[in-house]
Amino acid sequence: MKGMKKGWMAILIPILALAGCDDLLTVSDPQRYTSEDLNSALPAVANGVEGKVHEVVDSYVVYQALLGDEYQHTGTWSGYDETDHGWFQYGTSPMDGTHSAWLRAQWFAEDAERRFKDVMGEAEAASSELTAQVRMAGAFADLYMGMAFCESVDGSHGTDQLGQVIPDDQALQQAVRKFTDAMETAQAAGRQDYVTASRAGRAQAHLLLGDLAAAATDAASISDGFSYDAVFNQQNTNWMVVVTTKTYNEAAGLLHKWWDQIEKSDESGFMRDPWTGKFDKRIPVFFDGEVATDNETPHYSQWKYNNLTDNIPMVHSDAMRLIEAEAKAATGDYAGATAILNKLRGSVGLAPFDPPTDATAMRNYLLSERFAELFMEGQRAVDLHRFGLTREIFDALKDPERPGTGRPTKFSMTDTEALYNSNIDNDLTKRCLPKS
Amino acid sequence: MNQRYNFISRGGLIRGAWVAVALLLPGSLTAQDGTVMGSVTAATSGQPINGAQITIMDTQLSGLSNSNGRFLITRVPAGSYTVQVVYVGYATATQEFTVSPGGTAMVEFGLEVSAVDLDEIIVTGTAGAVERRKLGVSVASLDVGDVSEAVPLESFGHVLEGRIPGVRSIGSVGGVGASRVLTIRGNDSFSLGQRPVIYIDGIRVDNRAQEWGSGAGATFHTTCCAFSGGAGEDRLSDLDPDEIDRIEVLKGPAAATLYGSEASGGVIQVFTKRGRNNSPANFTFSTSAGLNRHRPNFPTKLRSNFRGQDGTVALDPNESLIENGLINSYNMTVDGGGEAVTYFISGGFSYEEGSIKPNDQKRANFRVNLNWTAADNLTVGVTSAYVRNRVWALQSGNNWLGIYTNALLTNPLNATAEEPYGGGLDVNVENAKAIRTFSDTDRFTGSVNLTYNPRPHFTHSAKLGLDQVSDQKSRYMPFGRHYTYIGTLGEANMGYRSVRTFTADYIGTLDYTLPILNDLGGTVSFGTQGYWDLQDFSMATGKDYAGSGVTVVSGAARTFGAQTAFEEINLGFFGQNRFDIGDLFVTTAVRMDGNSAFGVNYGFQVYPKADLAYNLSEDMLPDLVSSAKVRAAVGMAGKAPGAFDQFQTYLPNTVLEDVAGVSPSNPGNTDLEPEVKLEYEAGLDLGLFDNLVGVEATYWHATTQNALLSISLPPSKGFSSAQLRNVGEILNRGVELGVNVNVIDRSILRWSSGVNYEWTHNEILSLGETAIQDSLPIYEGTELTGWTYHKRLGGYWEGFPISEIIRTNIIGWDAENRVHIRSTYGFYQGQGFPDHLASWNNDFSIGQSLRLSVQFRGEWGASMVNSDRGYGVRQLAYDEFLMHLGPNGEETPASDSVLNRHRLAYPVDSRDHIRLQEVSLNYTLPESLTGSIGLQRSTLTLSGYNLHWWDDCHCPDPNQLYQGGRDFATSPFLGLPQPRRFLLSFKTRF
Repeated sequence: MKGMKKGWMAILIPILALAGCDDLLTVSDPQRYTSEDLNSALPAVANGVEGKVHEVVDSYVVYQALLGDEYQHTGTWSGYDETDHGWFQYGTSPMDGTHSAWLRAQWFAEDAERRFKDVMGEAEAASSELTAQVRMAGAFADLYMGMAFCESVDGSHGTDQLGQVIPDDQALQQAVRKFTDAMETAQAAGRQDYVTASRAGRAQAHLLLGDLAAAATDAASISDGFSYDAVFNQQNTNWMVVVTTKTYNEAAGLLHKWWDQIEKSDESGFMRDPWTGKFDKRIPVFFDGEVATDNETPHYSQWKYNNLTDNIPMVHSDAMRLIEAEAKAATGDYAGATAILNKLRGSVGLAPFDPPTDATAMRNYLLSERFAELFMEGQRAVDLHRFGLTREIFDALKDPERPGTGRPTKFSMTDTEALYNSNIDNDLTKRCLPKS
Repeated sequence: MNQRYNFISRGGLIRGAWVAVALLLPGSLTAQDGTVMGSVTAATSGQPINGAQITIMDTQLSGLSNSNGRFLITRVPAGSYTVQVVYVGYATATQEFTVSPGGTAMVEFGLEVSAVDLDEIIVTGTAGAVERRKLGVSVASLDVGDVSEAVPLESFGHVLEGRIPGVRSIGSVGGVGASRVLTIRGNDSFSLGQRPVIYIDGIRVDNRAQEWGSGAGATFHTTCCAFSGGAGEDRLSDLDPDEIDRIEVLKGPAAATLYGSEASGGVIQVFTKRGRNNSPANFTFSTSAGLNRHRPNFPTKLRSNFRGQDGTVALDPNESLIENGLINSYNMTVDGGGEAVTYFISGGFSYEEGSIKPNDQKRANFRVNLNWTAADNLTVGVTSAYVRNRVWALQSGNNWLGIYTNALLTNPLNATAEEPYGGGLDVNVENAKAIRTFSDTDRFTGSVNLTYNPRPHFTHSAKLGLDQVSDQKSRYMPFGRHYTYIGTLGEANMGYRSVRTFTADYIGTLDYTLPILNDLGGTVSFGTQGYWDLQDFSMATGKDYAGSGVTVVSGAARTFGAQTAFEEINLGFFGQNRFDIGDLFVTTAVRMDGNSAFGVNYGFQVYPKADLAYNLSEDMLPDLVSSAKVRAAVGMAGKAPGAFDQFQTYLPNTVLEDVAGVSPSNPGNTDLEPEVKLEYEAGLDLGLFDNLVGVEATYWHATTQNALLSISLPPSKGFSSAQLRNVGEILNRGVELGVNVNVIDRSILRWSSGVNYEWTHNEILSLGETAIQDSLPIYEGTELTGWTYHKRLGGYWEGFPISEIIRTNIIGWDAENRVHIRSTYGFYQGQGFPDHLASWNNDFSIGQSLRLSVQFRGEWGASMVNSDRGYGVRQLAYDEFLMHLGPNGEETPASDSVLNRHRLAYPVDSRDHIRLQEVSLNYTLPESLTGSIGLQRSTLTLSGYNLHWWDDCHCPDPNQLYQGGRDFATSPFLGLPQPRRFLLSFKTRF
């Protein structure tokens, strides 16, 4: 029995020793930061917020180009096919991922602001360039959501609360408020670049809200040569280049309506200006006669972005000039508006427009210049929506696969938010999806 | 017969060396001890039985018969004994004998065939060895050595195919070395893997089956990638079937409770071969040669009717892509032993090519298993195995670089002299073939096992083991060739995956009797089991080379790196008691687990179990029933969450002008618990007609509680990953039936036939309180009648199977616009997992020399979203579209209609099929021929595998998946089908 007892002790002692060792079952994740870690990495937090807004601008541009009349589907992805033909419904929008990314950026911006206050103290945070940076980034997220989606979520909720659904105009008003806050903070922090970008963003938001006077006022203060871009890098490449150019995947190409303005060549070139027939250097393209990934469609590639790290302008001075021109046109000052447009045309060697004879001619000049200046910047579909031109433009195609009637003009809210935000009625049939 | 013990009369230097090793092994005899020797043969045929277990009852003495059926047990103290012989497929036999001091007792056994074996010893999940008659659960045991006598086994997955009811082992991807599907009793988890845990000789081993490139912290297009398109390599293919003695399978928690938080999906334990005491060296040598070749049924047979603009006739992949893939393998083993030490040593090499090239696998195995009886009450076992497994992986699957993909998804009207297939997904087939993709694995698996008996009925067994896998992957896309997403400047990818799994195990077993309770007997067991799993991934990519000639990552203009690590620790304690009450056996047990992956707010998980087995005595049975056991069991087991799922984390990333940023990643959940599966099962094991017919029937019912589901947070909550939560409840229930019949047992013809059948029902019972009442109805069937509303969450719907297929569908034709009409709502169109599986195995022995084995296998009830078919039409590539074109390739209303239909919705097709899985003809060479050159039993085998299948799937193979190890993927998506395999094998002993 003595030997037996020793045997039992030999078993029990290691078991008890193991059970008493608290750390035995403790592991840590070496590849991620904890929330506490971030308190000593505030610049990375601010950069992360801004980067989060930028990282899906490329996706936004592709889908907006497919929804509008810039691109058509030429590959294998049903999401592109659905957008190109306007087949998508609520709950199936291929832009869900992009909307979700900006909603996350919106939350991250607010969370970052709270973190800065906690770590720096309220006073220091109020004049910190980091606070200015995240406020500006959050405002751009709201601006883009207001441009692309007919509904979104307000961003004024606390960490543990969920937001409420808001229509696109409220999202844009929210963007105006945030840009204003960002400008004040950036001013206090001495970051003039953030002030300028925020003002340009606010001009764009005012434009979409129909407040052309306020938009023009902001736009006028933006000097020529300014541009605030979605920045891409080697780790986060410009997806538009990856999925729509000859070098990589030809999943989308220019819509067939533009084909006769593009020449076949083994080198990149430019689309012709419809008014003069001359090459418009604002619209770089590439067509070498080869079919796209769908094995059928000739691939007319945009060539504005052809390197993986090419940035995409989000707001810039030429866009501000267009806002000024539109504001003038809205007041009947066609001469003033045309002068601005002609200056833009002159800078790329194109002949000026003749003086417009009526509002329609003025609008056509304006839209034509907006197409050229803002080519592949995600603005064309926005223009068709706000001018109510989607049906007209697509009917003119006489393309049975792309009828003008019943085509969505904006994207619906991301399905994920609608389903998982308990403040939102998850009846998807009640989601907003404007159609022509 | 004397030849058998003549160690050195024949054979060369190698054999001499092995024998020298054997002779060096220690042993001793006392003058008071005797010897028992004898033979074991089949009563009807007189054929020797290899590997029968001979046990001298009430002693620790035992042995195994060799290939001639002979056995020898020494150091038997003088006296009278009962000796028992057990061998699968035959009735257990006993004999009395007496051995005198220094004498030798002769015992001869002629075993009768039996389809029932209740004396078989089971050790997995039982806390010590126990006879099957005492088990209240269904535990499958497969004698791999016996199977391999009839069928050349090329892989571990092949071993299990169609042989055990409840176990689904199928090849779903056709590339050599690619992963297989391996599941037991349906789908029991939303988020965690379905593959059972694998143990080899008690050591937990890496059982990964899925591609890991993109899991290494990489971001798309910067680091890497699914190296070969998702097929992945199967780490179970590291195992050499020639090393395997037998396999035991625990099908669910009722049987696997003692494996705790890893075992709810079942446990498979592989036992490798061992040497025999007092046995000279037994050598086996086997070699195979043959070929893989795809069935030419790709949907591109009309391709060659069309020409491209330059007049090039388009190539049909059936004719130009399919080649013969050569197979060659060599294996040699030796086993034997002395008084105290036994050994088993094996080495092998195999080379196998795929039918679509480049794709091959080179594998070399080496194993040494030693057992040392250090004292009467102490044995030490050591196992060690090394594997080198190098796969040139095939580019296939959901993959822009796929060879099969780019050969099939081509428009024949685009064929040119340079691109005769027609261009594919923008990658020329020749360019796809120029990609070099390797998985190069070194693996060591080893263990030390101590068994100590301080008292005759008290056993301690401790085990320490390590499974270490070093897997290096590489992919190189040459400079100057065009690849989608890559361009023409070339790219190289490197990946390293290091996995170390340490296992520590202790079991104490005490047999007892309780005199105060009428000598009630039983066994109490207790112990602890733990593992420590460490995984490191690192990746590097180089992009843009200056020219040809440099292939290393560092030679590229742009280089990227990524690293990921995982660590998981599990520690469990258990206790078990089994009462032996006559023919009634009652077992109760409990296991308690702690795991590093449980949320910090969660403590230990407790898993109880109970089972009972009752063996009906003969006087209770009708005449035709020769034996019967009823059994019932209930038990729990679990699955732990992912290693770091509990932590809230932020992901570092590179933003703006290459500066450091972070972004919210995993929301974390400090309350994470393991999934817990509660399983009931009841069954009946019957022997009929003198055990010529064996029936094993089991009904089982399992509910996974606290099922882990990744639930998306509203994006406005910031975190990009879904949050893992314990929310769901999943039901699986089913019936398993195994019937084995010895139809004919004559010396001239023996025919044994076995049918395995399983029916499985899978249903999501609950998605928890978070589930959303769906605002859209789901239609049943294909008509717009009969719809229901369901709750949904995370891509699943309550009331449907996990692998449901709910999609919009074509519901009409708009004659005015000549387009199809697509439904707004979803239709339930079936499930991805079959609910009926069956196999029919037949084994014919004709005379003493010929043996024919045939297996049919079938699956019913599964459907697939046939994206492969849809893409083929949308890419203007498949016969279904081409058949409607005009004679010069012009589009017609019919071709437009087909194209429009497939652009709007992928078709859903049935995976029902019956397959002629294998046919094997085995011929035993005459002893007069083999004996003259020093060989013993030698066989030639001609076999065919995956020979033909009958289906209606509109696809090359209804088992086709684009990812090999996926458990219930619903889409084939250009996964390569399995090829047919033809082999000629030779196996001999000497």
